[in-house]
Amino acid sequence: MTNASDLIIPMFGPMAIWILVSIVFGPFQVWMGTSKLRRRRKPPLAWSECVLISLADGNLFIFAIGTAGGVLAVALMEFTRGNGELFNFRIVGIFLMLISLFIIVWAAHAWTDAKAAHSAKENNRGPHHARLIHTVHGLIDRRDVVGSIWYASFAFICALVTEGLRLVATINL
Amino acid sequence: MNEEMSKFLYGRKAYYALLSILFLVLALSPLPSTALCWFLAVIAFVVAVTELLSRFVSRRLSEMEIGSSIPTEDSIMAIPAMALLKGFDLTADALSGPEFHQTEVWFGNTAIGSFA
Repeated sequence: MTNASDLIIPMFGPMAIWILVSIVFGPFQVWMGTSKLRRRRKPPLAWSECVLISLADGNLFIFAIGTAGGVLAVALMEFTRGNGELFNFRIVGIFLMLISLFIIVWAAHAWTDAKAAHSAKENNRGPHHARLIHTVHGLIDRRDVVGSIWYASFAFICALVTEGLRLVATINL
Repeated sequence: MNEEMSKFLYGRKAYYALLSILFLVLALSPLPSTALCWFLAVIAFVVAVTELLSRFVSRRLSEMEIGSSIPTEDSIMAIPAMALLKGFDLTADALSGPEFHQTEVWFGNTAIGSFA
């Protein structure tokens, strides 16, 4: 008879590959983006400033949406199949589904709103104040950068809990 | 959106409220106590890193000036920029944004910009 561990262990290989690819290509992507920005500025900015501007571009909102989407997909899969750790620890699974939906909706709203809002001067918030040519390519303001860090962090914690539950089942903790 | 609601949703308060609910949910679930302790330790570590990062970024961004300047009349981009503004029915202060300045500098420093 197939038990939960037999289903979970094969997933660790792909997950390890995903982590490796993220570790290599994540910094590479940041480096590529910052290189472009450095070349366009005279004198070239410090690398640390380029990374901060990358954060101010709202990338962490996109990270939060993608990560929460992954958590939601895993939870839905396990609930529809009636197997897996999020199904067994049902209260945690339901919470993760609700919270990942919350993160997806509000991070998507915040990302577009922050892009549009920062285009307007003098702290006028809301997309109706935005200039047409600034709405998509502008940076987001400082308060929203900090908000994006909180959202990314919580989505990451949700992913850690999801994978942690699988680990608990695999090693029979 | 309501300003107070927006402050709550994108600030620390919402983050810590959600964390409290997560701790409650983990405590109520039938997890082994060792696993629960590991979960709490890892989450506490991530929260500490997030707190440090957000404070650092907030401080650095307030120090940084993400530049903006309105192009002068003799700028090579002034004529097409004014035409673009007229086309989109915008005013001259739309040119004061950082990304417009960035694009202008890029055009000034590249072969495409010189050719144009």
